[in-house]
Amino acid sequence: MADDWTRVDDVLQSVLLRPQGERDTFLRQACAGDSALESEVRSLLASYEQAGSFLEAPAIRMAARALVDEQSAGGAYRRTDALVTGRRLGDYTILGPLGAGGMGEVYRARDTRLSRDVAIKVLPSFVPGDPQRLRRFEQEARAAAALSHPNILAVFQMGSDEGAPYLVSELLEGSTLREQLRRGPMPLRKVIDYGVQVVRGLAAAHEKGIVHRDLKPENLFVTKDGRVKILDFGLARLVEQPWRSLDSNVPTDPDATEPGMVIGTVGYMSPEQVRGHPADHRADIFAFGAVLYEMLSGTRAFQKATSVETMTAILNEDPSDLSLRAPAASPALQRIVQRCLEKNPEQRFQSASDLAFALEALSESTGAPASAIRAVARRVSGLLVPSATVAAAIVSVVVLAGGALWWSYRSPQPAPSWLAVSSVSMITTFPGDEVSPAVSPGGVQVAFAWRGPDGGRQRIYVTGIDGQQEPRRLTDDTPDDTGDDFPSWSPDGQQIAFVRRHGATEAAIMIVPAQGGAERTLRRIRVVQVANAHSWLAWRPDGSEMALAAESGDSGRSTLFMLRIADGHLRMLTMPPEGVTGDASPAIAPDGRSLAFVRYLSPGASALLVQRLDAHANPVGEPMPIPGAGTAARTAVWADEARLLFAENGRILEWHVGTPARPVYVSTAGLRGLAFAGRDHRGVVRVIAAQGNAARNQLWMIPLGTPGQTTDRPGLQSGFGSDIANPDFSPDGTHVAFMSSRSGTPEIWMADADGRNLRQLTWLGIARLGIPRWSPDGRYVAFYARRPDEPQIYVIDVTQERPTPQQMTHQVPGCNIPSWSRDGRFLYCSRRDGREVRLYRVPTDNSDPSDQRIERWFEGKDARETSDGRLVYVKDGVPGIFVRSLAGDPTTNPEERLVSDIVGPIAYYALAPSGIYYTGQNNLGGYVGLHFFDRARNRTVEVASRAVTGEMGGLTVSPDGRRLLYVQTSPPQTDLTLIRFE
Amino acid sequence: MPRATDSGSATGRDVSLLLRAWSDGDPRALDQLTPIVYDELRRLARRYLRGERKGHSLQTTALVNEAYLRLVDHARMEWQNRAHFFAVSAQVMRRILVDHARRRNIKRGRGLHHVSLDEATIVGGERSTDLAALDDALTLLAERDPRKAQVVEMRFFGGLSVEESAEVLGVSPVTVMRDWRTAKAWLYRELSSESSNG
Repeated sequence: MADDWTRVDDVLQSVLLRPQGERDTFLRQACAGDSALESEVRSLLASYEQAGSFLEAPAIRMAARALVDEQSAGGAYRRTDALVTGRRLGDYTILGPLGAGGMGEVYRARDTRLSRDVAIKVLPSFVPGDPQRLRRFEQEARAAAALSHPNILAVFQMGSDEGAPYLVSELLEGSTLREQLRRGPMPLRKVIDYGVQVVRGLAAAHEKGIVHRDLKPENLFVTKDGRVKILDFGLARLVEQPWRSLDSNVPTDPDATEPGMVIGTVGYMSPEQVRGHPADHRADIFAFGAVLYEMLSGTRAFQKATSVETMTAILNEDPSDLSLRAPAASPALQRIVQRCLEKNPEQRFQSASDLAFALEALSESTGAPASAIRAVARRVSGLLVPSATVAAAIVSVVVLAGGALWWSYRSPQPAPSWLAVSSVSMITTFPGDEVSPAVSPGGVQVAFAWRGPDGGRQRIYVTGIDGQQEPRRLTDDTPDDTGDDFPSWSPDGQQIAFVRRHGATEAAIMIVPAQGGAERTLRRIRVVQVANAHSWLAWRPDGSEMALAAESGDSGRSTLFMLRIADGHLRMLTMPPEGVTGDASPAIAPDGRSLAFVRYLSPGASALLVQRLDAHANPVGEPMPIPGAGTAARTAVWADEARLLFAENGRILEWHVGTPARPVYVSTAGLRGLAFAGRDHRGVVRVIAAQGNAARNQLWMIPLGTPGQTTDRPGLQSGFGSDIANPDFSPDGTHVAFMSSRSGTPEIWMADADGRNLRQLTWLGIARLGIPRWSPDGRYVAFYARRPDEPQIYVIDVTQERPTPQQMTHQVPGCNIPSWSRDGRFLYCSRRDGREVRLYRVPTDNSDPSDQRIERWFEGKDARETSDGRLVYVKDGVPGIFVRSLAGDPTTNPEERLVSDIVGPIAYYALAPSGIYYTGQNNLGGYVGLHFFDRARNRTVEVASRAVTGEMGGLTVSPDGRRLLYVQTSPPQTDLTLIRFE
Repeated sequence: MPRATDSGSATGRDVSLLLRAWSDGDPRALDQLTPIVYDELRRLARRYLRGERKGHSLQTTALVNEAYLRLVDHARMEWQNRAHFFAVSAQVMRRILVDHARRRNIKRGRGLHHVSLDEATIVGGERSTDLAALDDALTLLAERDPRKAQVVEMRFFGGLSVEESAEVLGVSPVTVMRDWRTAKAWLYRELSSESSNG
């Protein structure tokens, strides 16, 4: 036992030292097949990751907080230490408390001199430990007070009361933007209106050299007549230092930082502030971008469980795609948000007035023409410094002359129309990675490289671009190859060329009829290893030749060649300079006159270049770098002769000749290939990306015949997407409610039973929420949410367009896992009481929460009432399903255990007309698959035993007992995604 | 870090003497220490009420540190063996705070099948950890891995820093952090009421 524990401890510690993304793999290796060890460590790891601030605040603090709640419920200590009504402060008489603002208590006061009411904010007295900082604060606050602008809170005076500085300001009536955001995303018109006001205020302050540094919804006040006022200019400075000094007291572990300390603010910090670098006015532009994002989507741009993770996200991650989270926002508006949230201040809007200009252009016509933004982009483009490394800069110098020539010859261009994502859908969701997509000239089929359903060597497959066809394998195994990659359609669509690898340095360029048939070797080549090439071959439009990357002689450098299809003759296309790794990933424009390619400066860093070609595909001039492309651009595809798309770090960027490239699509994970699929009949631009996807929870359906018997194989319910948990059939079987994090945070969603008409039902933006359960009348969905920290049961009315969650359990802290009584009058839930989890019953008549009659029942959780008046439930950590009669006093009725052959706890179960479907754990912590308990026969059968394995994320059975939906978890992998751009 | 200037009704010396008495086996010392801790709790609670809102968490953090200082820091000087002092003060803190929580739980839990409003509500923020349940879980952890349980006692109940805990236990700060992480994961799992369905 002790030894086991020591091993668990050791492995857990080593895993925790690894970055998040590597933990899974490392854990599997470290446990080397010891499944008991692995499952224990996994379980602890999950707990650790969930634990967040658990135990991080000292016990006495928690005890004091609990006391506060008791006392404030009793009204004993309400604000006794606060400023007392009637007290005088200089010329002001305190009239009463107004609440607490950003960083101090706020009082309503009477200005006896001028006979007007004002607001007085008293700042924490402990802060100005050093008088110098207080002086600096006063300076800034005075400067801010001197700002007279309708969108900035007017500050009349400053003073100090027993060492606590205070500010006297105009008295506003209304609410903070934070309060308004509690109701979810805001209407577009309002977002733009508020946004313009904030930016005007910022512009006025910035012009005077005053930076806010702590812009956030708490500091934006909306008056009753709709005017937005920025509060607390200059105050952020005041608290900057103490944070840092306190932080430095926190030893070694970042997890140990005080959780409540900076969390309120940290989500709006700019990357430079997170790094502790000096922040200028562009930090406010970043913060504004985060606020704008939140107004549009109803969720924070950056929010993780802990402040440290949030800060990491600010530094490294793009917020979830706004086009998905706020589809109503025009592409132009989305791009404004994106520009504000650029990590590099140089790439943001360079001034609030530019930003104001762009936003105002939108407000003039909410139809949102992109022209105004482009105008601004042109205005600020002079300030844009592409984030190029030194190496890339060298390339630019090398190629500048020729490039500039071409540049001038192509210019001036008409203002480009940038692509904007309109929808994203999955084409393939096969096991393993589907990579290197290539679309047939007609745009109907897509070829890709895949290891097949059984994980063999990588081969070329073809399927329909609509994802509706079974994949067709095109290439064969040979005795000595190491796999196929990089399919490329001939311009007539008849043939597919591909690269067959023979080890790391040898390869063959092959060709095969697109309909299948004999493979032919065009040429053997030597290859140079480069990082993550996504493409290798590019046909000329006339089909006579194709560009490819190969080692040039014994130079060790990768070079682009043209390969003549007829005879395999090679001619050199590019001449990478000495000292670089070389050129790869060619892409030829549809007119055959431009060649885009990646020049690797080192095996890992690259530049994206464009080479002009003549009518015979001979290079003209020198290649030029694409402005706006970074050092990780990996592949490019031409959408037309003047528009290039390329993938870089999980983003797709668009470049038009004559303008810097800009991102048009941001994925959550990396991209491993890009293909242009033309325009559809409505002119929508389609792009296929091989996109990395995190571990997925997908919904599968099993058709059921007689109870416990399947009538067909499980079918993937792709309409529900790949992030779903806790499905629950509506009582009439027409809808399914579920939990999904597709909007960035776990929220409750619903859809038709076939996955159509997806609808988001909550916008709570919190880390823990789930287990939706329909009310018997199909009108309400109950779920649990930790809001902020303790689980409670909430109910939403799905007939409302934007349902407001109503808290149902007011007096059972920690209540969880809801379900309804059959008459709808009660909700069951469960919570931990000491060592065991107990069932509670709460009335749904919520008219008077203060008199809610809560019944504490017996040990159990996840209870469901049966049609014959019994209650089925499970127990936490206890094997088996239990049942007792609801007649009389259920708490004294005898308990019967139903499923006695399972050795571990039940993970999920669902009632069906004649029995119970369930899944649970075996004694090794593994999973037993799907089982059916037949009540009439009192026996258990396994359902779809080979198809359903491993961990599930929930199951539900349709009311007629004919369909079973379950969630299966699959590991992270790359899939083909169809992205449509308007 | 702010230091307390006034030490209220009980001086650091009183606390120090009481702690010593308790560690020498005098059970009455705990009875005398309890009201001192309670006073501090109530003082903290009052200050919380003033600065409840967001943005004030910094202030309350400082207050918590201040509370520990008021209770024990001054007394540290009186002890020959710092490590011993730390260990004792953490144990005492645990005893008092857990007893306090248990008493509150009993008060709230009266009536078997019915929980009404005035008996309920510990909600929000870091309040979710039931100190009584945690105490039980910590006792279980001690059976399995005494040092990890001690680390939690030192840091969570005693308010000690990693370095101070390391000093008490005679191990390196790195070891304390390791123990802390595992203990945190284990205790969280133990206390988590959501097990497989959450």
